[in-house]
This record gives sequence, C-alpha cells and structure tokens, in this order.
Amino acid sequence: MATEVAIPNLGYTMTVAKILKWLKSVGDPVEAGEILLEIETDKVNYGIESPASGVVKAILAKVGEEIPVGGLVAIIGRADEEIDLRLYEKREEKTPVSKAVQAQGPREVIQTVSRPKGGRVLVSPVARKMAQEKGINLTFVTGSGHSGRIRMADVEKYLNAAKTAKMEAGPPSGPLEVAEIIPMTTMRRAIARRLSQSFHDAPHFNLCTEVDMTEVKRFLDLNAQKADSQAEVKLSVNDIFIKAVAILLHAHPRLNSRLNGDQIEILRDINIGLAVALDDGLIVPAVEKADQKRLWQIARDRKDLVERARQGRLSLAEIERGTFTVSNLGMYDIVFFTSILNPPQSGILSIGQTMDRPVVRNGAVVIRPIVELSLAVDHRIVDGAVGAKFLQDLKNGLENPILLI
Amino acid sequence: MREIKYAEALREALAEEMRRDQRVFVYGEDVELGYAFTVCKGLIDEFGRERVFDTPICEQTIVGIAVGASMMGMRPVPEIQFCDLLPMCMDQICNSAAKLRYMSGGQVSLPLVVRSPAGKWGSFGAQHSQTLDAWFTHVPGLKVAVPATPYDAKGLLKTAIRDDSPVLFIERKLLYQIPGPVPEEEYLVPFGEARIHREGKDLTIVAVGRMVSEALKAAEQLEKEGVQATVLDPRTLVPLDTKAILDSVRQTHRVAIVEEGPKRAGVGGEIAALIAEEVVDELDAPIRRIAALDTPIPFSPVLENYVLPNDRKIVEAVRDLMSI
Repeated sequence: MATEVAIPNLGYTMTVAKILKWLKSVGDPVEAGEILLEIETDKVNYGIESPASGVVKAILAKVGEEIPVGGLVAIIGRADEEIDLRLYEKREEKTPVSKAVQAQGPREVIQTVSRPKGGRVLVSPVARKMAQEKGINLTFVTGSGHSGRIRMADVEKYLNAAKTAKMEAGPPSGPLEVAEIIPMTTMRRAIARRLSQSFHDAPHFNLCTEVDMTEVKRFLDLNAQKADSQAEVKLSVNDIFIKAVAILLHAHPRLNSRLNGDQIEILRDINIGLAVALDDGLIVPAVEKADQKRLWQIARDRKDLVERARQGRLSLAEIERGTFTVSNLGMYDIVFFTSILNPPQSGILSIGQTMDRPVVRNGAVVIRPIVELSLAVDHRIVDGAVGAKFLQDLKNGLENPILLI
Repeated sequence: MREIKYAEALREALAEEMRRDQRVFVYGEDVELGYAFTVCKGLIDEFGRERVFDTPICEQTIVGIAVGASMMGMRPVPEIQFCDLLPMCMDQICNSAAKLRYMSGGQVSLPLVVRSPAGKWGSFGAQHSQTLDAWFTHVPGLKVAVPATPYDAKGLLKTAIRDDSPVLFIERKLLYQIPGPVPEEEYLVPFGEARIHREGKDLTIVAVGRMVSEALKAAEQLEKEGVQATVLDPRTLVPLDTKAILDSVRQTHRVAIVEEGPKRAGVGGEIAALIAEEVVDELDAPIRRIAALDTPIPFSPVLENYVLPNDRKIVEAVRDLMSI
C-alpha cells in the first residue's frame, strides 16, 4: 500500500516550501523516520522524515521547486508495488489534502486561527482546499458567508485582488539599466511580506532616551570573570538588556502582548527575541522565560541561539515564541536607529552604539559612556505614556541596576 | 416525438414484455378492470386471465405468490395498490424475495417486480399517501426503481422485468396522468444511470420521483434570481449512480436533495452521507435535505401541502444554501 509524502505545515504563516536537497533517490530503500529530503520555509530549514518504511517509488518535486503545504513530494511503497504515476500528474487537482497532510504529524492549523468574534475561522472545505493549493494564508481572506465564513468565492476574490495588485505594481521602467537581478529567497519574501504588513497594520510610535551605561560597564567588567567561569560564555551588553527588559515587562505587561482582533492578549511568558543578522536576511530567535533565568543562563542561551541562527539550525518554535524584541546595531557604529515591530509583538527596543560623551552632572561636564535607545510600540495597544514609563524604568534600571532586583 | 401519459407508458412496457416473454404475468387487486390507477387496464383483453388476474385483498399472499412463482421459473409482476400496503408484505419482500437467492447459494433466483404507487394524491390520508422508498433501499438484495417521467417509467419497467433480481418498482400516484415524450421504438433505461434534467453551475439538486418536476420549477425561479441549478434524477435508488452525483458535486460544490418521503432516515440522508464521505473537500456549503416533515401526512389539503415539499420550499432552502 503506497504512502504519500507531503509538505507538512510547520507554522502559522507557512504556505509553501522550497525543495533544497533530496537525500534519497527513486529505488532507494528507506526506513520510517529517516530523512528523505530537506526543505526551506520562510523561517527554517527542515528535514522531512519518511512516514513509512519501504522503497522510494516516486519523487514528485525537483530541487528548487516550490511546493505548497500539503503538496505531494514523494511516494513510498513496497519494492514490488506498481505505482500509477498518472494519479499524481496534476498534483494541484488531485492532492488528497486531508489524508496526506495528516500523515505528517501535528498539523498546525489554519483552522483554529482566532478571529474577531472570538471563535474559529469558518471555512468551507473546498475553500480550504483551494487556499492550500494556492498557498494562501486564510487569515488574510475576508469571508462573506454567515459569521464571516470563508467560501470559494472569497478565496477567488482574494486571488484576483492579489493578481491585480501585482499587475498594478508593474516593473519599474525608465532610463535606469539593471546591473544584476537577485531573485528573492523564501526568507527574503517572508521578511518583505511580514514587515510590510507590520508597518502597515501597526501604527508605530517611537520613544527615545539616553542611558548612562557607567554602572552597566562596571558590572560587566567586575562580574565578567565570575560569570564566565560559570557559563563559559562572555557576558555581553545584550544579555544585560535582555534581562533588564524581561524583568521590567512584568511591571509593564502591555509591552508583552499581542493584538487579536478586538482583544489584547497579555502573554504569560516573557521570551525576549534578539535580532540576528544573516547573510541575506534577519532572524529573531527568542530566549525563553528570560525573566526567570540568571544572567549567565541568558548569556549561554543567547550564544547558542545566535550560533544556530547563523547555521540555519533554529527550530520554528524558537523563533515564534518571542514576545518582545531587542535589536543592537552598535557594532556597526550606528548611534541611533528605529525598528519595525516584529509581528505580532507590541514592542521592540533598538540599541545604538555606546560612546563616551560629554554630559552634565551636578553642574559639571564629565565624560560618560552613553547609549541611545529607541522603543517602538504598537499604538493600538500601547500609548505614549505607557511606553514612556517602561523606557524610563529601563533607563533608571540600567543606570542603577539595584532598582531591577 | 409522441407524448403519452406515465400510466400508458407503464402499460405499454407490461404489454411489450408479456409479448416478448411468456413467463411474464401481471396480477393484483383490481388489475383486470385496471381500476385505481389504470395501469393494467386492457391487458386482460390481449393476454387473458391466465396472465392477467385479480386477487382478493391479501398483500402478503400476493408477494408470496411472486416469490414461489419466480423460484419456479416464472417472471411475476404483482401490483400492490398503494405503497402504504407494502408493510403488509415486508416479510415476503425482505426475508424471502431479497434473500433466497443468496441463502440457496444461487440455486434459485427470484426475478420478480413488485409495482406500487407512492406519494400524494390529494387528501388520501396518512395511510394512503406515504412514500416509503427508504424502507427498501435499506434491504440488501433488492433493487429499487423510482421513475419520474413516462420515458423513464417505460424504460425502467422493461429493464426491471428482464432483470433476474427482485425489484421494487415504486411509481408516483400524481404522475400517472402526466404526459411526456416516449419513443415508438423499443428502448430500455438501464439501472444505476442517473439523468440530468437541467445543467447549472451553482448547485446540484438531486431529486426523486415527483420532486423532479418540483425541482425543475424551483430551478426556473432560481434562474431569475441569478442561481443556476443542476437537476439530477438518480432514477434508481439501488443501484445508485454515485458517480454522476459525485461528479456533479465536484462541478457545483453545493448540494440539495429533495424527496417526498419524510426527512428522518430518508433517501436524502444516504445520499448526503455518500457525498460527505467521498467529496467533502469539494463542498462550499453544508448539504441540505428537503423532504416531508416527520409526521403522518394529514388529510386536510392545507395541512397536507404544509407537510409535503414543493417548489417553493426548494427555492427557500436553496436561497439559504447559497448564502451560507
């Protein structure tokens, strides 16, 4: 009895995956659980395990091809079995979505996305099938049926709107010559899409402050040795920021929340994401429950996450669990910058370069290490004063760390 | 093409088959006079009392005779005057006719056809207006034919008589006097082949028996409202043309099923389950069943119309279905 191998749904926003590499060829024997192929999604690379033992009877997708979630990529069967490949010719029409996708384990659901009315998204079966085939995220489709139910016509409308938008955008023309064309990677497209959406949907409100990092520097120097011996990791200023922000988010829960239709959901855990630059992209793994971890634990987690981020070995959970983001461009001599919120988070802290500057203390000019911070918040959830109080507490906490205990 | 009435079409079928095959004979209550619904009228003149004869009121015996005669090699076509009386012959139909071929390991076959009219006539009351198709679709070993037009009535009855299996041939009282096109040349309508009376891309209405014409009326009204409906008539409930129904659902993505019997555990439930099992991913809306209310059929004409489905109720249900 042949077993179909399909692209699993690995996350809330995943719609397609690109085939990176096949580890087996047609005719190779394979055990259940062995990795058959590697795929690239908008967030992570993933090895798809064979759901059954047997022989690879057919490979239905080529390296570089993009297949939607639920799409078939291979058939596993007995050595002596004959597989009628004609059944799989027009994949889009004949994909047995329900069966194939179930075979792949925890299926995360376009079904149970919450909607304004607090209930499930209602989708007709054929509309759901269409959306999966075309790689559409149903959270972006408006339903015209009862209770906002999404029907075939709604998905078609969404597709046509997308087409029209593409057509209207059009290729830029004019006297400029193109020197090089770089096709967008899956990650690039995901960043483009998510940040456009974030920029568009969330009214960003930016607050700035300057922090005297004298005490932090003293702390880092004095305690580096001690912390080092426990963690074998050198403490960085980012670890301090992660911990300080995590502690303060307890007192300022609105900045650890997300918007869900009409409801503001204050998240239980405080998982601080740290923006990590990659070759052609950006990824934000999160330190879990940073408020509950000792500084050296945070440092150790941070080092591990950054290393694996650069190797493309993060799990989706490590990225999706973030509740607040911290970003530091100080190493690039950037003195000050603002960031776009990492959806669906409600706050992001941008840290510039710490520089010795002349400042006034008690009527005299002194030199102090100063860093400029900016905090962007989603004004739908967080008002100016709320954001300001948090930033003020952060400044005070960093300048007098004892306040954070 | 000439037009003849449903009852005439059935009479022609009986006559042609009796001419063709000497083993075919017709009997039941008042068949010699062709009383009640006139289907057998005049047959005795051609074929005589040996092959066309009356019985007393004894439904169980009527079918019992068919069981015995068919086992002995004859091809009986008894008439049960109202389908409401079929319950009286259930043992003979369900336990003998449906089972003896199987239980004898094929040593006997029972090529009998029980003809019986169902449905509303108009104030015939609860015991003479029922539609019991679902009782017989639920018995393995029986075939069930439910013709909606004179053409289908003649073609299906000829097929039924030539079929070696026991067949419940359930006609409709109000259809007897309705004319329709019927070719002069001989033809057969095969079992298990649905007929699409009308094509439309927005939804499929599966309709049985007298409800086919109600569905067609509804479809005309719906067209004015911008809804194009396919009307599909299965013609036989066993065997059922599942393929035609599923293919239609794959095209239109919405289904309503109309029958004259009561909704609960009716024919619509079986068809709806088949659709949900096989092509649920094609559905854009829940499956709707339109049927009689789950109540005895009233004598009062006003209440009778209230209880039974009709084109107006089909239109309302479809409007709701299109908006979900």
